[in-house]
Amino acid sequence: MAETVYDAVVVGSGPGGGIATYALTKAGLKVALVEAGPRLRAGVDYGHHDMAWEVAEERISKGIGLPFDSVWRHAARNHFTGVGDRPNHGMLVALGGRSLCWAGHSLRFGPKDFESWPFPYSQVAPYYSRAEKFMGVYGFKDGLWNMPDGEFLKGVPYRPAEKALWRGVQKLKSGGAKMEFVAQRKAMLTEPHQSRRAQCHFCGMCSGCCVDAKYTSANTPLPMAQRTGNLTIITEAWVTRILMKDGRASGVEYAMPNGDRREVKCKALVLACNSIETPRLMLHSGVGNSSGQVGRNLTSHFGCWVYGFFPEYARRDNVNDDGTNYHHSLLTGLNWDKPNPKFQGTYQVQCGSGWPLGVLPIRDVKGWGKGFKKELREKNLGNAGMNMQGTLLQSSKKFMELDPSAKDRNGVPLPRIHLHYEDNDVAMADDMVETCERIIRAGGGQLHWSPGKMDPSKLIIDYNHWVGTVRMGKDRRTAPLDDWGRSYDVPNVFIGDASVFPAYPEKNPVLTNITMSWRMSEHLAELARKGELA
Amino acid sequence: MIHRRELIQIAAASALPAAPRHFGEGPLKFFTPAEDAVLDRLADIILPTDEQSPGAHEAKVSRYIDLVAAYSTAALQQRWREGIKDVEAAARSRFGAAYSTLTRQQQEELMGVMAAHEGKPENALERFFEMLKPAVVDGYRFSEIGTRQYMRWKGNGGALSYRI
Repeated sequence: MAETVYDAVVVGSGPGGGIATYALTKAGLKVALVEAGPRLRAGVDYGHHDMAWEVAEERISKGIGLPFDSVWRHAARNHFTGVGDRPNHGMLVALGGRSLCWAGHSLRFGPKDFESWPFPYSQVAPYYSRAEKFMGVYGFKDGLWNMPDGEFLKGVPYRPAEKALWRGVQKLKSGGAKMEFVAQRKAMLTEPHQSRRAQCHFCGMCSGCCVDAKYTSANTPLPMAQRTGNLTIITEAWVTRILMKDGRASGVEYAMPNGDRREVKCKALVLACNSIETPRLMLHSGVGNSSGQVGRNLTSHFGCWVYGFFPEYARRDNVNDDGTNYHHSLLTGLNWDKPNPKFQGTYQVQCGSGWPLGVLPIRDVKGWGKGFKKELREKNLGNAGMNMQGTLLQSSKKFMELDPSAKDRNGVPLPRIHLHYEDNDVAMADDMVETCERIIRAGGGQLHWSPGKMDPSKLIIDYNHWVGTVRMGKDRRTAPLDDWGRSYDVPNVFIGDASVFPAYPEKNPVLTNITMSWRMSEHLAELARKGELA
Repeated sequence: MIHRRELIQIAAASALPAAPRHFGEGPLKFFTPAEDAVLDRLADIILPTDEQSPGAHEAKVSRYIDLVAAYSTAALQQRWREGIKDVEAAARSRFGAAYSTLTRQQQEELMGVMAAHEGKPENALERFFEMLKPAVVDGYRFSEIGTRQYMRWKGNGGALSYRI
């Protein structure tokens, strides 16, 4: 039997790999999608409206957090080693990857954010529009110049205590502060949609949406790709090596769950494994790194929390405002017009209030007894949380490489992540804490909890937003990829995940990842049509 | 189409015995009944019944802690055990009697001793309070009483009342 050579192999089925698979199969290419994890079914393998008390024993016995039946319980943890300030890297190894667990936040990068990319926002805008229509993104038209409006479904407003934050922002703005407070934009259906996914029923469990109202690779692009008849999906296959022949990628080697190795051959290779795993595979295979930049330029979002307390909401009766997860609102527009003199880059603050699933988010109230019980309840009813999301300064101190000794079960070196918070990062966080405290007070609230003066021990990385490690650029000496996401060194290797971002604003990565991967895939399909990849 | 492996998974899942639907419905997994009684009272003093809602005793918070302890590391299990012993020792040195025989008022007085330096514990008994209190709050917030009666959460479990 002749060996099958696919037109393209896509490695990884997260946001980037899912859309690449769809775009390539739609263009008529025969595609094999290789995914390390199994197929999970929404509402079956994850996503149940179980209440915490019903499932406490099962969850506790398996070391799974309560109460959310998040798809994160299928996550692969500790698949990395770290150096420095508590780096973190969580992977969801399953068909759909982290598109299964993402919070859905879909914010366009703006004209300013693209200034250090090889192409301007105006070139990307039509791709954004198409991605938003394809995914189904809700939002309001806010008219913000550096977070452009998109193709929105009916928006979801913010909750009562978040309106108090809005009031605070208006007050500071009237005093000259440059900031905006808007409702979140998320890839969840609030209206009938061409994908025919179910509409959101506002249960608050978005990290494991049980009805597929939230966009995932598994519920939208992959079924559509399968219907083209051009797709083969290989699950539970950990890619261990890129196979090379005559300076081109000829396929990949993967490990089966029992450790056996197999190969799948292709004319073009798309890596979309995430910003840690893609460079790991390239470094381990010795592919595409003549620039020496693979694994470098690592950045992510980092942050901390500030909680406000608004007494006016503390004594009202509970209302049903579970909505879509915790964050319904967003503080943005900071340092867009002119840079902050104290630090480079900027941050946004994701805001929320209430208690999705009825669970108290606020636990840290002093005391015990009746007074404590009453105060704990009020602090929860009147809470509004502000979660900073800032961009880490890209520098030589932040990068990933292969661990010199630790290996995974397939014998491949684990990625080793170097994270060191620098003065710039701490200064940005300091500014955020100060800004949030001012907003809370201006909105009529009290400070419930704040980290105060910042230091690296108070900062957290729990966003899984790493980007930058295989960046695009005009110059092959400083970037591994051209401005489409194609390797300069190996012309039939393309990258479909967020590692291609040359620079990173404060905004969440997935929408732009999908947009870029779709753009790259169409370019790939065009090259294939012209016979340049044969 | 359902794949063969999925059918096996579905079959395996449906063959599982029904798990208890509330913590506290099964037998104790880690603590002795005497230890559980101490924890139950400690929890109820931290979150007592008031005019608004029932307290930690009714919410079976001690049984949540039993689950947590049962699936903890040996070192943490040891800390729970030692903590309860410290409470017993404090009861004897202060009131000359076993904790469970003290009046509620005496037990509350003891809680005041345990919580004397909350956030900055100075001895083993105070350190035990730092471990106990978050577990009590968690057990209560994960209980049906904590969710439905204390927070009066309405939510969307079948009642699709949220509108945009």
